[in-house]
Amino acid sequence: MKAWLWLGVVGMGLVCGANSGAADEGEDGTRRLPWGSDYAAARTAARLSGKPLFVVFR
Amino acid sequence: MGRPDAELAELASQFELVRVVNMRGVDLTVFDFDYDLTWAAFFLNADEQVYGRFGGRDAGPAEKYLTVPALKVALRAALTAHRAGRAMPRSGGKPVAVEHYPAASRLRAGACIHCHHVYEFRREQQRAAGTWRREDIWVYPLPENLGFRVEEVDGSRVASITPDSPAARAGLRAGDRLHAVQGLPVVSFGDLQYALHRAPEEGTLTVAWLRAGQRLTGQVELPRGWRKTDIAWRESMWGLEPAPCVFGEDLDSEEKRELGLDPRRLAFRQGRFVPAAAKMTGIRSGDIILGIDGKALEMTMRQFNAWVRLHYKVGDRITFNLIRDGKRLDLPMILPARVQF
Repeated sequence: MKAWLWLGVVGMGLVCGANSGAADEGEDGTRRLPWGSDYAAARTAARLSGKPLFVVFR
Repeated sequence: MGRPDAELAELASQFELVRVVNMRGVDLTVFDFDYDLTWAAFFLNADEQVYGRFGGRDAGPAEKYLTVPALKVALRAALTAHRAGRAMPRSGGKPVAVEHYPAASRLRAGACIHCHHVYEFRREQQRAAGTWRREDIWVYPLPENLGFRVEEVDGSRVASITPDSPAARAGLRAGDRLHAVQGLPVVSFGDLQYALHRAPEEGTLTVAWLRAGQRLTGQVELPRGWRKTDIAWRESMWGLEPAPCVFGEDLDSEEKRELGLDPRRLAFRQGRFVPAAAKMTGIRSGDIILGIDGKALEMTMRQFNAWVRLHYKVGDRITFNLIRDGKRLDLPMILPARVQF
């Protein structure tokens, strides 16, 4: 059975004051990953760590 | 609530993760993607050189190409590319942010800018400059437009080929693994759609693929109109002109049957808020809209809104066909540019 991706969108709803429409969240997915919200900071962190960036637009 | 995917977490731990929910300040020359998507991902290095994209859709369910197994494939490929130093060079030029478009100034200070606003504000600017063309509607075309489909999980593997299609004539076969399209590497469906988006309206498309360990290339001919897709799902569709100014819930099969309608037939109930142009025409909340000009349309409400925008012009005279209190009614309208309340 395929597992669908769902992002934690409650934060998005609070930021944008909009109903994201994605309140249902699957068992698997990216919701529980430790997402940052500051792209510039993530880019700095990537320079220091040597890691690539995984940037999601939601 | 379920267990997290350990393998996904392990893969993701090898990246710096960031989630963007507001397009303010985003450099569109780096983050060039289908702005009607509700979920899209990039894998890139700190110098903003892109390894790959993930996400993309057709008119089917939004999550069709957004599976965890497919994401893992893309993450692994991005890590391999990162370790090998294989990234796409930056396009160069000055950064462009959505705030640069004049239409963005109409938003209140600090208001959230959604992804689809990029398409709408850009279109408005192009219209003002006289550079917008109707062909600009056809963004992120589908591979099936050229006669091939890819697997939903492994977006670089060809799942099927339509006989006698441009893809078939170029030599592609089911089971082939796409390597690059127009020189752009392809790992995911998102990569493929991006490469097709960048392809020209006519001419040929260079495709490189692997078969039994051998690298092959071919030229896929691009037939006239190849980029056209069903745009009804797109949020930016609503900003196209003209606007029929009617929208609401589609009737289900049972409701259509009770009205003596074919279940495939267009039929939707006008919603509570009736735009000014529709109100002046005489349309009321609750009216069952069947279409226009006596045409037997087999489509949804959204497809109807897209269809009118694609086939009519501002100022065209149309006649709405509808049912009110069990009686058929025809109401004429002159199509306005936009919806206004």
